[in-house]
Amino acid sequence: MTPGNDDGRRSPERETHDDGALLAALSALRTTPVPPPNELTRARILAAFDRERAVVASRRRGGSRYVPRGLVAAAVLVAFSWSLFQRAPDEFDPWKSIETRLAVLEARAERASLERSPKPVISVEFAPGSLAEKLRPDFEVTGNDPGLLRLVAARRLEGLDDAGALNRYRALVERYAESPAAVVAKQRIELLAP
Amino acid sequence: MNEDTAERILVERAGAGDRAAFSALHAAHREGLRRFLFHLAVRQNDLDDAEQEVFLVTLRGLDTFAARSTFRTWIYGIAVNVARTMLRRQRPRVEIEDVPVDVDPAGVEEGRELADRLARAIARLPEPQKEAFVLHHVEDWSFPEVSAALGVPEGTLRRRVFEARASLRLWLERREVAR
Repeated sequence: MTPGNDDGRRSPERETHDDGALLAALSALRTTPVPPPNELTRARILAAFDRERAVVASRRRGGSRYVPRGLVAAAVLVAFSWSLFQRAPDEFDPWKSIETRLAVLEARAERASLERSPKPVISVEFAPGSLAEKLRPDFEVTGNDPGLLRLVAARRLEGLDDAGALNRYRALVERYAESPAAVVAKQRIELLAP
Repeated sequence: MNEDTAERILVERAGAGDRAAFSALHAAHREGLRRFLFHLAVRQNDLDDAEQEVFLVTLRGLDTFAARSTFRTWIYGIAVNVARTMLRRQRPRVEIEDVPVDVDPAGVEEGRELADRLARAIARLPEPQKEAFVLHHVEDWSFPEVSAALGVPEGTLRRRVFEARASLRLWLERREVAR
């Protein structure tokens, strides 16, 4: 017996010479019935084909329902970092110039300084017969604004003329431009203006 | 249009999602593959699972089927791998008495008895010899076809078949695999 034949096909003659029993058994084996196929198996295979094609079609449309977990985690991280960046104070904003950031810091320091040292509250006692008592009607108009209070006193007691009183007012208005009493002061300036 | 060309078209259409084409491929190769798996000693109970696994692997590879070989040699190559996996799972290794044969309870026909004995003997062969022997002698494939399916050089296949035949002849003569 030799291993194989020239054309690669079986050679019945040679096999018959050497393998009589084997050939007979082979012949019988080829006709042995194989267990019949199961139709359920065929249905499963075709269903698997449908599923596989649906996945492929979904990927081609770019609408795969599968999203890698790593991608989701990265997106969440980026969004979180961006929100922190958005909320960052101006002085930490890397996109602004160093001058701008310094100006912001100075303004913040100034505000903090003012908050730490608020303007003292002036209290006025209205003792009977005192100077303050005499100024009371004007004081009620000017509130607790000490500058305006002094102005009224000067007008009444120091005998300032209109021009002198006006200059005094202007200085006070500049000083207390942001105070509610400044509004009253402006009205007085208009009244006193020649 | 020859058979190979027609089949190649079916493969292309199945790869493009044509269910009918895939169904036709399945119908054309199902019986031969089941017989092949059966002769490789895959148990009768596992035959449906093996068939299903072969076609699942096939359909997943349809897009990448390079057509360097015929569809038949490709799918039988897949079947060999599936059978190896299943036979490994069937360990302890198939014994002579466990060979899956569709035995006639009477068992009186001489031909049937011969076939049973050969099936038992084939199951005893080492896997490389068994695969080569079944494809060449039972399925009647040429050595180039077997070589394409198994990815083994022809010279190696010839030696394996030669050794398989020698072993089988010896066992049959000694009636080592008699029932």
